[in-house]
Amino acid sequence: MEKYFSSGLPEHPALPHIGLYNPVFDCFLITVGNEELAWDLKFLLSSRYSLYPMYLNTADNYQEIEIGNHNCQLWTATNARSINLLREFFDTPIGVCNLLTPVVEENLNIDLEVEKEWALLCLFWLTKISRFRLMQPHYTRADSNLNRFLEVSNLGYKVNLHQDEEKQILKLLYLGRDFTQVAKEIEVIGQVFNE
Amino acid sequence: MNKILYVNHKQLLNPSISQLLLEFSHHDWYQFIKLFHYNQGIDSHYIRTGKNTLPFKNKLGNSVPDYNPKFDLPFGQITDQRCIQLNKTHNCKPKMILWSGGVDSTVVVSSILKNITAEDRKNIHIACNRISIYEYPEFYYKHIEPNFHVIDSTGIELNQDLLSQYYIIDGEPADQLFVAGVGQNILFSDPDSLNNNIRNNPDQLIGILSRLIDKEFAHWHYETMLENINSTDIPVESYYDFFWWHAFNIAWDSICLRSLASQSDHSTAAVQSYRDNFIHWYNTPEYQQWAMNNRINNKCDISRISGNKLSAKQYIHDYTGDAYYFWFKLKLYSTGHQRKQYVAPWFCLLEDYTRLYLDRDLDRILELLPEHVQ
Repeated sequence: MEKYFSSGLPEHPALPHIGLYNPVFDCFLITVGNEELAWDLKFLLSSRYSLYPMYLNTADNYQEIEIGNHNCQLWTATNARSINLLREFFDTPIGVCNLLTPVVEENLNIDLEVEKEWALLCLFWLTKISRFRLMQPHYTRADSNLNRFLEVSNLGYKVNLHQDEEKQILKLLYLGRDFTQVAKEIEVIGQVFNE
Repeated sequence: MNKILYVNHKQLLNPSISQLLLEFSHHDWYQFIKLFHYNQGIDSHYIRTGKNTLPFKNKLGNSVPDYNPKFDLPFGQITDQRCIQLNKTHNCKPKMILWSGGVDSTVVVSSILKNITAEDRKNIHIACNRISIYEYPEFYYKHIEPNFHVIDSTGIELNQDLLSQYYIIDGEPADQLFVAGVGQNILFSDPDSLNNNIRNNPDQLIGILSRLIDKEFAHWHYETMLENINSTDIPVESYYDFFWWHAFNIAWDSICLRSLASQSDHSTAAVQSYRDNFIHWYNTPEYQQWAMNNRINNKCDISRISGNKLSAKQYIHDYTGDAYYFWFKLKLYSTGHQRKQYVAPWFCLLEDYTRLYLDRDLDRILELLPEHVQ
């Protein structure tokens, strides 16, 4: 787990801190420091279970708890069970936590630690690919925005670099079940993102 | 004289109609229609068995079988039998299965994979859309894509061409066998109340209902349902049972006619074609007997948010071995993703399958409606 661990905290205290709430475990499986990553992670993990993004830093006791990926599985929100679970694939807004509260342990035949490990693996690769894209020479946000409709990719815009590898990795994370096998396979494919 | 078979209750708020139904005020109809929220997607409430305590007569004929407390067929056996039987009786043209990725239609596809040979499966096509795949990708890639011809169901229309080409099979009315959807979510938000007795402890139940409708109407609804429940020999005791009963006894008919709303061909032949060729998988006496006899087991399950429809999930798990779907699958609003073309809503369906519209047929509606009201 250590290799893939990240704190899940925002880069600055003023930025949003988002937890992905799992209604079956009734806890936050993982946390991230920006909205885009929260949605990416939610959908990547949606082949296993439904996760609902909620702002953690809106909770009255957020500062006291110091929630992050080291302990989020021990916490839930008092208002989490009021989420409309029926609309998972609709564009619903990110929920707002009122108050964080410790979870009551339930006897499920699924190992939460194993699930957390998988979620961290997904977060690791999403972050790595995203950083790779941002580090590409000549890549700017202007490229990302304007080239959606200007189609000037033949003029040195290389956003598609290693796109096949990215698709392979994301599909393995989406459909895979065996941590050791998938992590190993992705290590090989993902070498291109070390460049 | 041609009589009304079924009224779309959502249109009862129209002032030209509500004047006929003096017993109910406009406010009452509004509350009545809000009740649909916990049986989402239904247009109307019709009582199938027991004393009819609602305003309209039910002539649809989808009656509840006589309650048999000795019925002991398990869900899996009923499902296998349903599949084998349908394959024997409906084999003169291909079948199209509407797969949403949800539990109900995944049971149907699992059953086909388990009971029907590869040769016979060539005549069975799966209609789904991208959301179906999002809802259960593992099943799609492992079991559907390699075994079936897949049809894009986006914007599919149940016109006569399609219905003459295929028997169309959906996974309805399964929410009505279990407690599902909004009813389940309401109970889950108050899980300690599941086993409360509806007769000894009505106040909390009325309180739960009051989250959806105003308190006075919640009280009316409780009393109306209780009178109906007390007139049958089917055991309905707990709050869980109460929500189940509402779905099972009152929402069933509307679910079986729901897809008619998307037909753009409004001829009587189109309705006949729908009745002859559209098959609701769970609309059988055996599934209904199972539901009447197996609520105690399901009641235990529903105290966990993903514990609904556990017998159905077990059937899927026995075929796929997928523990994630078994433990984590939640009820989603699958039908909400279907892209529906706008079809002007009809007010009622007559016995000869003529559809009447408020703007076009008001005089005829006003003439026929009093006979349909109790």
